[in-house]
Amino acid sequence: MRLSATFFLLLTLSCLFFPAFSSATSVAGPRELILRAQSSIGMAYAGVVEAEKAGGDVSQLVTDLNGALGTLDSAKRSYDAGDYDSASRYAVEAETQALAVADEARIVRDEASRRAFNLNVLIIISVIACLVALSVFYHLGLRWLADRRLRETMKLRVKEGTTE
Amino acid sequence: MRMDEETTVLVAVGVASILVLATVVYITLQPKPAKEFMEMYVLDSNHGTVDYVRDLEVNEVVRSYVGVRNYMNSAQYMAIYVKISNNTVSAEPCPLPPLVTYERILPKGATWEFPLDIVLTRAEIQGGYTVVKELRVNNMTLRGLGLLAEGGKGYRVVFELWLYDPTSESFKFTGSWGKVWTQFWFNLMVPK
Repeated sequence: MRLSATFFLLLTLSCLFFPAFSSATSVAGPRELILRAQSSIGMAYAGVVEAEKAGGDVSQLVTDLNGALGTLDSAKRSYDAGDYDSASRYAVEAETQALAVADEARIVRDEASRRAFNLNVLIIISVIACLVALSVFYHLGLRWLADRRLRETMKLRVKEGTTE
Repeated sequence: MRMDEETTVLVAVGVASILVLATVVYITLQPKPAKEFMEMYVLDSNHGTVDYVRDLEVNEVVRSYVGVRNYMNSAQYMAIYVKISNNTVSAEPCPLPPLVTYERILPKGATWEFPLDIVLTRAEIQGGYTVVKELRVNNMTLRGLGLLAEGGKGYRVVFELWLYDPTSESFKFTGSWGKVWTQFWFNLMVPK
């Protein structure tokens, strides 16, 4: 307990006596946040592609992700201009936007997959039903033809004639 | 109701014929997979391909329009790298770092076009070379540059299209879409 208190005291003193160290840590913050936001946008994009391949409508997701890219761009510009507070704020906002898109992309993908599954089941059932119906109609048609032929045969009459 | 042998054969053949016919029709009606590619173009200030600036002066605004169209089968996360090089560099991609980068997610079949204003704001002559020290791209000033060209001739603005690869989590210049880049040339006139 005493050891950790001493360590904390030394750390505080080092920050006071070495301002360069403390400023270096504050600069590293926004840079890391920007990298995290970039990574989240990449992850969200991968989710959007999966949702699109599953057959989902991703137009709104793409719009939202472009919004996240715009916010990330603002973060980078602020960072280049030395405005690290704004850079951090924008980077966090971009990451939040990207994560929201990633969540939404999962929902769109699952819904699209479910719809595709239902459609496949419907197609299979329809095909089977059509085959059964065709078989029945085909068989009944053959029977009707056979009956008709029989009726025609029964109607035949012997015609009396003369032989030479 | 019992089917005789002839009827059974007829039913089986009929069903098989329908199945084969349905399969053939289904395959025939399926659209052929289109070749995937990306398209990029640079237009002049009049939205044409005739009036590209050839001879440029310091502080003269070069307006061009950069467009990208997505012919891939899914939305693409792309980056357009804008670089300024000279006629001594011919590698693909251009080994110089990008001056500016534009990133966007482009939906399948969509086109994205944006105006690009380039102004060379400071240039010097050193020996036989013109050196661009500062320039502005769409209101973003870039300082501390050292873009050389002998006699100010043969500068080129290079536009490279890089696509994001989710597997490697990085942008790639080449892939199934080929290599997409374009450029325009200009000479820089600096008064002595």
